[in-house]
Amino acid sequence: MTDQDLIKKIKKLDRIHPSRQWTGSLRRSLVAQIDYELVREKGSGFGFFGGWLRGIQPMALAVSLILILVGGPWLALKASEPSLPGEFLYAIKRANEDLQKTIASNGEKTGLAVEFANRRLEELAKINEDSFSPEEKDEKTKEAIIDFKDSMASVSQQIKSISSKEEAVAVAKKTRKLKENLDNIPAEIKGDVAEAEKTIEEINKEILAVLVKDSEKDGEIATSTDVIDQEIIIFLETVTSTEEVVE
Amino acid sequence: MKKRHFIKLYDQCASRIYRFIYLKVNSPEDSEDLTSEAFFKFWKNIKSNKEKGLNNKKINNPRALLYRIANNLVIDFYRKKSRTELAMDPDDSILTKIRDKTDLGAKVRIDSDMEGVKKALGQLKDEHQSVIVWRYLDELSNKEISQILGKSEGATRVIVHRAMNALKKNL
Repeated sequence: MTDQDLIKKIKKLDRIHPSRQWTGSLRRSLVAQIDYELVREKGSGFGFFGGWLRGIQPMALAVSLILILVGGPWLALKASEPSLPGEFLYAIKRANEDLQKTIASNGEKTGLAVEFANRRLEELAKINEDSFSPEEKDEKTKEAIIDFKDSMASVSQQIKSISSKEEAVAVAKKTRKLKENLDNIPAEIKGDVAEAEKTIEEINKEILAVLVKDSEKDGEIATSTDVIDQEIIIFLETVTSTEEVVE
Repeated sequence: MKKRHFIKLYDQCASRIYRFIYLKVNSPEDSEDLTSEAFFKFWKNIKSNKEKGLNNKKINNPRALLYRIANNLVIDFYRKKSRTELAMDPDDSILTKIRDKTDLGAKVRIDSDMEGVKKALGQLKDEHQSVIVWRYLDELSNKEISQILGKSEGATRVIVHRAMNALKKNL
């Protein structure tokens, strides 16, 4: 065996890689840890005021603990909702999303993945509007884009699990919002999220396929379109043609 | 090192560090734990240098430092657990575990070449395993490998050569 043959064989081991969900989650933990340390460092640099802050830290901790005990996790989750990538509460927000994904049924998973992708786009828009320093904005944007891509990859993986008309309609509504958010994304990052258009098309094809199959089963196309929001059907058809799905 | 440089390093190296550890510990859960620990330790290392006033002392090769930390963590891991407990089991294919635990899933059809090279690699001594992964899988230069090992570039080249010969014999 030549060295070249051996190297080719060794390179086959590059198929071993961690899950994207895990790498994303570790990335968030690292960012949260660094941010926490940076905030502490900044706090210690305020001289007398910093010292005074350190003095009330035990009290603040006690109050926080009471709030958590009284308000429960709900309070922490509520407080984390508007958080952005790189912020301390963002890790709680994402941990909650991971938990929701874990406990959701297979049919609900696609809808949740689309909803979370939507949140990432909303975060991107908010990052762009807020007055962060260029460096901070760049870092937060990059993180939100990575997470958005992860969410879309997860949508692609779970898309086949849509089985009922109700699930299909629920996902279609969320996808329509996703498309709207995608259209409103700042021009400078459009290129980074361009692949999402293709995934939306895939989702819509799947949804239409489920709806067509469902109506064929019942033999009542009219009834199904009565139930389903007509606007959704129009939205689905603008992205995918029904003929393509039936074929 | 600034936060964004560290995160960039993470984006570039997380999968490689995971794979390097995985090939040694043969468990997705342990690999995840040790990879996390490697990155947290790396950051702490940078921070403690800063606190000691060594922030001007630039790290020559952050990637080499990261691999060195990962390698030391694997050594500690084996110290804590008995080798017999973690020994490679040729029948209990690593690939089955990967299929269950990672994205690899059903997408990748396990081919016998990969199985063979994995098994052969597992039979090598620790240093030989490492240099083969670093040189031919992660494509580190001999210079970078010499920095991780703390040896001269010439000595590293010899180790890589010997490791390749040993792997050929095992195949």
